[in-house]
Amino acid sequence: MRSVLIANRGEIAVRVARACREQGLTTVAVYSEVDRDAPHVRAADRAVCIGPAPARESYLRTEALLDAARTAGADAVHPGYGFFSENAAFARAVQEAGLTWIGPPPDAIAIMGDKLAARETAGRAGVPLVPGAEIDAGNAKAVAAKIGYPILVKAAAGGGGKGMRTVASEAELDEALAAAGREAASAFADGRVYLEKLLLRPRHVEVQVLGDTHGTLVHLGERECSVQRRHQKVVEETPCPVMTDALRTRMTDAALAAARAVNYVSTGTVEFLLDERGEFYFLEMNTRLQVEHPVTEWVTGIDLVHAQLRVARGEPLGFTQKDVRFRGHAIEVRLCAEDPAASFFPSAGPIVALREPQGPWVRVDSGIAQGFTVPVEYDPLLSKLSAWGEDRATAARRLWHALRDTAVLGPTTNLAFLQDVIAHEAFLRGETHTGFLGEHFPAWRSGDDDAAAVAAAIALTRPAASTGATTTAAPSPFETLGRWRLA
Amino acid sequence: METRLRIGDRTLVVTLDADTARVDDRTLAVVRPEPGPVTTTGGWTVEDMTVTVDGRPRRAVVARRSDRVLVSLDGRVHAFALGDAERRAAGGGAGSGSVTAPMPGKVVRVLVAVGDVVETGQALVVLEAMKMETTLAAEVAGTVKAVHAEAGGMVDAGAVIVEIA
Repeated sequence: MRSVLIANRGEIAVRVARACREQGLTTVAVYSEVDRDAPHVRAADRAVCIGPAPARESYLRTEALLDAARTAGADAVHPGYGFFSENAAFARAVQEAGLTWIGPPPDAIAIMGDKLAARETAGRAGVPLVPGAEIDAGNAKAVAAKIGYPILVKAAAGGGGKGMRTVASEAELDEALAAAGREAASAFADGRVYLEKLLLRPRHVEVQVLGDTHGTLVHLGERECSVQRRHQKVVEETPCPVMTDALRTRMTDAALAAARAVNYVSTGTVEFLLDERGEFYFLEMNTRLQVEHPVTEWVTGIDLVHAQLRVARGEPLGFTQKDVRFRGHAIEVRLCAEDPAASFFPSAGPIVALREPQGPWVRVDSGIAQGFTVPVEYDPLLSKLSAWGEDRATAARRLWHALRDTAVLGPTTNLAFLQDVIAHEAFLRGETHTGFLGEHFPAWRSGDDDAAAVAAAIALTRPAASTGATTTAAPSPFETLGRWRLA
Repeated sequence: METRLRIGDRTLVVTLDADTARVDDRTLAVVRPEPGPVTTTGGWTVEDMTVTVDGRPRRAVVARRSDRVLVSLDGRVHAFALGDAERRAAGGGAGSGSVTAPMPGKVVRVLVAVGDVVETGQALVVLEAMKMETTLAAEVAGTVKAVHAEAGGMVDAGAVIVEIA
């Protein structure tokens, strides 16, 4: 393995390129026409344009990606997350083209990628399941009534909250089935859906697993990712605030059993719902690197992308379960181009100004740069900000300060919202569940600040820059000198 | 010097003096910073400044263009428009009968037709943008006068999709 094609964009493509470089591998980026100037293109040694903006004409075109690998001389493919990362057919196509697939075996992807087969496999391995069932064209109402409302409609091929709908009563069922089916068909080219009982106030807790091709399979602890909007994670942390040693043992044992059932290799995540009684249920297994992997890296000191690369080369992990140590607490937030004051509607457009935080125990996984235009075609994730602390309160405070040091001007982002979420007293008490945002932030607004109006007025007294902007009033020398010179 | 800044549907009047600023009827002690280096990006002039307001130093990044000023202050963005509120924004604001696309996207479904009587909050159109479906709902009750979208079509940000009167 000498050269890795990264079949992705944004922050994860930048992060993977960095790990490859650290291992002496050259990197090949791919980009669509609107991503020509994207940071992930600059992060790689070579870059190949693979088509127009819509993902289906670029990042989701197998032939274009394999051609790019051939053209640029790549001998391995890293899929990142999203796009083709959980597509067994793509993984097989990569292998059949004689390239190394940096990920789990295609068969494991296929089984866990079909949510129904995954449930069956996990159930056989003794992992507890959420009550749920498949549906045919005609029996949805009867099946839903048997499970009992509220229920969740989920895409069989799903992940990432796409193709998922909550249904409170039978009256909403038809519309939810249709909408979930459409979204699933558009996101995964597979419109099949199934029903699951909706647990009340559950926590989303997941276990990171990592295996090599020599029979070693370990867990790297859990992550709690309960703070979600539209079933997509916003805040992730490890450890889970209510975790006990006994529960961790049971949950990680279950995760390893599920992974073993599909002969798992590389990084994967087994997701559970944890209810208020301390019972947990298998949700799904994500057969890829997870967005929130940095918090696990913070507390274990294990670089998951480095591990993926070593495992793909056929090397042993080099450590066993007893070597894995956990230290302190880490929290990550997802900075997204979306408006939390308007139903999290996505935003797009040029980044006019960008200031990213720095400092000890603060990490920025960024996919944007000043001057880059955030395209409308892709996921609104811009970057991930995470912080480590010796305890949860320290990590939360450190991350909050890092967010206050951040500035993104251009598209509307959730930056201020994230600050308010991690400073909320219920969050600080660890009282998180998947309905947290709906319960505590039903009508969030950013709030006014007279100092902002003062800063705006001061800026308007400055002379216009040589290009572009014009000011509304010509400032007097008195104003542009600034007060301090006059004292 | 007096500056009029619009935010949402309000207009703030800011007056800068030697060591104070007035925002509407509130007076603040202000230590103004010396002009710092500026950069330009796509027609915007960007300046980092620390402005001390009522004794508290505040770090701001300010981007300005002929019609707008964006201020990031302690990780929070305040978007101001310049000049008087001579017209409502294209969206019409709260309670408008003109339902507009909040951003470019694909029309997935149109749920109403001309002549339909709709209630406040009723779903009108399903849009898909950035891979997510969003339902646009009626902000006022009334009768649908026009529908400017069809399933499968694309709409631009700010385009009026449904008119209710």
